[in-house]
Amino acid sequence: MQAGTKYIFLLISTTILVMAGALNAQHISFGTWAGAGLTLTNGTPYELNFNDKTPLIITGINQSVPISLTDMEAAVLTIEGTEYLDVTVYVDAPPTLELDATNSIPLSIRFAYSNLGPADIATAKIQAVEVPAGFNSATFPIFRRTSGPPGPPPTPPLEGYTPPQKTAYLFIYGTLGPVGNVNAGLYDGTINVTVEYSTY
Amino acid sequence: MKKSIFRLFSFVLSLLFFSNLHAQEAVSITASATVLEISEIELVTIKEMNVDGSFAENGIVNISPVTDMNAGELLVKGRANAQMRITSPNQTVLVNTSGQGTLIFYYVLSGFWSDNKQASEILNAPDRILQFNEEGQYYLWVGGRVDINNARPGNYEGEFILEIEYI
Repeated sequence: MQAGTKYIFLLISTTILVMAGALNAQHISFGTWAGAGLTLTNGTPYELNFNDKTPLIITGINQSVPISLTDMEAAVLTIEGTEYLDVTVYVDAPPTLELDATNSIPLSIRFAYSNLGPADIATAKIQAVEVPAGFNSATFPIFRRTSGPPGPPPTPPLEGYTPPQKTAYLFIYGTLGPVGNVNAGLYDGTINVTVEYSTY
Repeated sequence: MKKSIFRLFSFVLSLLFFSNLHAQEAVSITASATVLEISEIELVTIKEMNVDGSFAENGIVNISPVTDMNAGELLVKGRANAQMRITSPNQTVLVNTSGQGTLIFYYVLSGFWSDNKQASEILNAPDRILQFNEEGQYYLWVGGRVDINNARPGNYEGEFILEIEYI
């Protein structure tokens, strides 16, 4: 009876050991891939200037200025990385643009990604997938195939070997306003965009 | 058995450490908007300028905006206490509406924050910053000089354009 009890205890310990090892192995694997090249670069335009869409923004009349995905004023970012890996993008935007502590204007930011290997930004916009309002992160493959069976397994990482790279596009846009009875001046805020290879 | 458990934890900790090498790329985008305050500006003519040839001296009619009774008067209505800049032409061409001929009228403008012509100041610097009074009012007087020596008889009219912008 005592021998049987000892046996069961060892079995449970082994199971926990294997699971813990597997979970952490995932982290190591993708961490290594991330180090192998993932770049996030500002495109053109590199900022979100609402005056570019509406030059005259006036206080006190509840004016709203929307910049949509298809507008040329939407900010552009490019993500370059290993084509068969997933990335997660985080968009951290302030809820308001501020002049000072007592003057602010509501800001609603949205973003979209384009990962069909577009040849240029215009094509990227047409193919872009808009992330629903309210979400501040999205996970998608750098390059999404539209048809055909999956390819062979990727070449394992080797010294001196660079896996195939692709460029995905990210578009940042949104709506400013309504502009209430606030002071005139330059209102601004910083949107932080982070991208990393996804971990599962 | 105790040794085995110790090795297990050592391994897990090292894995967690390596996972911190997980690469991230980040950029910042500036979102901005310059917002303006705009309210209506209204220009009210209180008194027309009267250019009477009978007052000419040596063929030149000279109307002082500060002292002459024939000077025109305008009231600018805007936002209380707001600063502004007034731009006006130095001269304009007057056209004879009843015959041929033109005259060049050289404007002189004066202004003050209340209806006090004698206290008004000549506005000859184009970038001069002016200010509405507490009731959103500013007064302008318009005078000038015109040479009628070679003018044909008739009624002459012309435009006087004022540009007023908030600062």
